[in-house]
Amino acid sequence: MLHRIKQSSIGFRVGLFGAMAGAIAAIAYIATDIGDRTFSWLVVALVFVGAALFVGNLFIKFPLLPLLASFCFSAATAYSVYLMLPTLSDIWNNVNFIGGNPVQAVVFTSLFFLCDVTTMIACFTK
Amino acid sequence: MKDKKTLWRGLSSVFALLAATSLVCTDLLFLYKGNVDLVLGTTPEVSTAEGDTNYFPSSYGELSAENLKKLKADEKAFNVQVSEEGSVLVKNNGALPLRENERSVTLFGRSTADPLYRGASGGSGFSTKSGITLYDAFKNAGFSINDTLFNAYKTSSTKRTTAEWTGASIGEEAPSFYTDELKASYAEKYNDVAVVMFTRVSGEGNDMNVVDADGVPELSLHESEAALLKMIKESGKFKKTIVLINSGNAMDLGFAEQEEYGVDACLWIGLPGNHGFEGVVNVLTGKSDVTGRFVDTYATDSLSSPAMQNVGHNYYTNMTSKYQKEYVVYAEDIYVGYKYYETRYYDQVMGLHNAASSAGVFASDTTWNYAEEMAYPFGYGLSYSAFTQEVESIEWNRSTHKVTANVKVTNLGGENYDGESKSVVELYVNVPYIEGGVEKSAIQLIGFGKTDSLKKGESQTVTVETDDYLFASYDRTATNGADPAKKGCYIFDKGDYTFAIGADAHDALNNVLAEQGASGMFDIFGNPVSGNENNAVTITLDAYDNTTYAVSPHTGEVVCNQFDDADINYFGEGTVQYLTRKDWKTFPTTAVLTATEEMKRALDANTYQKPADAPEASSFTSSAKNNLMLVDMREVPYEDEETWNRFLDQFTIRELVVNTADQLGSDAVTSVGKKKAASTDGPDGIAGTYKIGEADTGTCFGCEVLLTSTWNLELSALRGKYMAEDAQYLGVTWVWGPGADLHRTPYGGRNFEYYSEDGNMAYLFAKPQLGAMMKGGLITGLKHFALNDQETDRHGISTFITEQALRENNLRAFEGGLAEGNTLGVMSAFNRIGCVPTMQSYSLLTQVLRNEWGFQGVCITDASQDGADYMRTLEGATAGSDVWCMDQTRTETLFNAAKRDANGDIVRALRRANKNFMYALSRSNLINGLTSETAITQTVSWWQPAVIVLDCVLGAAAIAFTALAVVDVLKKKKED
Repeated sequence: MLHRIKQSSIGFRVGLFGAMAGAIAAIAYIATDIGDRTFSWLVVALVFVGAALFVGNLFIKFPLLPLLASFCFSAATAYSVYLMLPTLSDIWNNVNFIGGNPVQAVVFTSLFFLCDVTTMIACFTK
Repeated sequence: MKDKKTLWRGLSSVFALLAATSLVCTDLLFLYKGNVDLVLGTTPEVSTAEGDTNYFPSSYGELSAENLKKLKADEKAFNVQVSEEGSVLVKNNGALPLRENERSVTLFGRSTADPLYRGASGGSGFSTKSGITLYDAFKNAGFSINDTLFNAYKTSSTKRTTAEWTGASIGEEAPSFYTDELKASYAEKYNDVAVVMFTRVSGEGNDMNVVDADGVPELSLHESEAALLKMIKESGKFKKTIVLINSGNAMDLGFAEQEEYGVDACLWIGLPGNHGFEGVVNVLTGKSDVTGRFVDTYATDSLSSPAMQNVGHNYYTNMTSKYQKEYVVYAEDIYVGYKYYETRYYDQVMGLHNAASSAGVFASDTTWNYAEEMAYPFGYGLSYSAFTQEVESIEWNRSTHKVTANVKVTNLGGENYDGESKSVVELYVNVPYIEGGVEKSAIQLIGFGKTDSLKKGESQTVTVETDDYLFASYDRTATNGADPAKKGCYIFDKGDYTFAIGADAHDALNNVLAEQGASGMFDIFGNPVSGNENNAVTITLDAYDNTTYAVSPHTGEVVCNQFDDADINYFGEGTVQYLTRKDWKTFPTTAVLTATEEMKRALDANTYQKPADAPEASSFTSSAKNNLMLVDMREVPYEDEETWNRFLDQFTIRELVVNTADQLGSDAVTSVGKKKAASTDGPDGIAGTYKIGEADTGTCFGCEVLLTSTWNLELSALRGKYMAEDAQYLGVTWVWGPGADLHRTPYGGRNFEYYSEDGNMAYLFAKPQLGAMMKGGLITGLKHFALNDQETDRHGISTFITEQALRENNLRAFEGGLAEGNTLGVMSAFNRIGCVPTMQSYSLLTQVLRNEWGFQGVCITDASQDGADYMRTLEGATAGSDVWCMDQTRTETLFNAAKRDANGDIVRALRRANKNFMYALSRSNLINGLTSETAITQTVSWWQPAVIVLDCVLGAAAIAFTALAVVDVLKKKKED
């Protein structure tokens, strides 16, 4: 596996780092955001599946795996945005109407987005 | 070739993200399309009409830019008057009104540069175009202001915050802020008067914090504020120090009387809205007298009430699920606000019931002492003019069930004020308490009146007429006099009923005690007083009465126990000891609860079962062509079932369902001639921008508690009238307000938009306001029905309360508006009554609201989209919820039940919901300009097709690039 990583492009390595970071972020998401309206198990599942697909590249030679991983991270990011925006609207309106923790929402949505970007970089490279 | 593969793959991943994000955003935009329309100004056009079709004409004539200006001018004058009549003068050692040579001032307190005009909730905001700041109000009145300090506050980075996640801070400057340079700015000038303003903000989802960012109760005087007052005093520069309290919540105001702070006068100004600061300055200068009276109790320590012992986060020991684990117990029973402090005072004077024990001591030394626990009582307030009030007569007519008091009021004038003034007549009653019997407050507000403007020396006899219903006691153990098979009803115990007027609740109680021959009374400062028995009248009731109010005074429906399971002791005898007057040592502690299996089932709230006798879905007609338009129904009585059924027969099942899904409004229904309608939020003003005339936001009125503090029912009606007028220019048909929950504690996040701590006060004050709103064609949404007295954990919180407290306090607050205000809209709440969500409580929404109170309008949930885990769809629809607020997620469940499952019970519920909604709409400004022949078309806002096109483009791009990537991979495989 180490040999495979050494052989891989810088883009792949960035993507691999992002996928692993995404999985760690998902664990932190569970630990700190569970119970909040901005939390969803669907996001967690998508991130873990995305990370697994990307890591799968180390074992299976299938050129579309990074793309599938990126799809998962994109879906996770988008759904996270879906949960985050109503909560952020409270700040815009200066009313705690929707509820939810906006700080957590912004932090984790940003993390998932950055992980997604790394997998996109991997998609653009060999 | 290889480069292309990675290019397609990369582009595919990029566009997949863009498409996914675009799709979810589109979903959000459609879910909140009413809000989007509000922001983009694509809400329905205003309903202009002429002649016979102008069913709800504006009193300013046709809707035009010129008439809007006239309306705005009148609203401004109204706002100013509300501040003059609603602000409460707490202390005045003669400093106010300011003399004519006192016009050079320094404004202290950071909030003078950042005033709070309104609380943090929905509705219209402060208008930077037409609103008046504190600074401008002073300037306009000819004051010279110390700009050095003002600008320092203005540019300071210190902020006032409410949100729990950032730590609530009052946003006051620390002593280090006041540099020598700043202190020098008032050393030689701007020192006629130090005007200090302290502000507290709370709001939706944000109760005041028992411990805030400074580590102290948010409503207490903070170190920074105390230091500021001392700094001003110790500077020796100012002739006078005037403190303004800019808060909708009852702060600890005892400091105003403490010499160390050097406060000469203290004026509570509430949250004054767009123009109220002009009224505040008018009061300070003596251009107007100040005639407001508190509608809340201002205890020495805001934590000292029995209700405060059970607030905030409380979780069942064995529950972890969101929206199920939270609870609050109203262990104070009926003793909310003044009912606690004054009743305990009565027993203290009479030496009864361990009143002077150590239980519930907060501000007293070792044993409870009213004078030390109380800062300013309910009904309290000073004026520049002095008045005398003399009871001419008080009669209780047992046939008409009316109590009538005639009170002669004389203006004696003021020491430094010779203008006109008004006086509030407050009428209270002391009812006989039977040891161990039903709980009774020793004093209870039952009515009030306000004089006209009186010149010095002028007198006026004020007549206060009220219903004896307001002091009947609900006894859940009583045998119902109308139906002996049922338990519970309102009763009158035999004995002496002492009616009294007073300057406030405490003064009235002292008059009661004097009338009853007691001694040892004292005023709020502990000074001995004798009371005035001439201002009290005792009337004896010879026999126990369990028949008069065994039936509803509104409908004749038998009134009996409906909320046994709202009492936590229903689930386990003796689980909680409620506060009882027979022993004040029962002062509450924080209740710790474990959910029983029965409670867990109730908390799940998944209780719907199709009744065995449900009608067949096929027994209802749909899609009929009966040519009955909405406008045709405007005079069809609710009871005319035949005509209403013919009207409802015209809807398709889909339409019946879609009409119940609010989206800050409702779409047009072309088949019945119903236009697209807009609904919105706002007890203190209607959210939105005027669609005619100069673009400005709807008027932000002074907060509801400021309005109530006027004790002026004419102003209550005027507020309703102006909101209805505003609604016509905003194109709004339904506003979710006013609010009628109680100020159960001073820490309630939305106290500013609820009337009072007292149910009777809200009962009396809501009626004229709601009546005027409906008269102007604006559907109300009196909220949040009921028991939404705290914002913390408001979603799904179990609220446990005795039926007596619920009916006499919390439901009473809604009853006046809903049963007697001729209003047609109510909003239920996020919380539960007991374990049952309010929006699916049949007892609340059908038995009490409709059967007992005769309400015929529409009942909307609170914003239910996020609450599907406990605000169940079929349960709510069949219990009495008509419309789902900002929630289109229920439609498939309802449609499937009605259409696919052919559930006649749900079809019946949908027809009932539509009838209630259409009944309200047919009596609203929505029908202005409509005739039976008016063709209605569906309108789509421009942004809707735009975002759909964007989704399609991004989606197509993502698919295309993915396809190219796949093709490349396949080609490569083939080549290999």
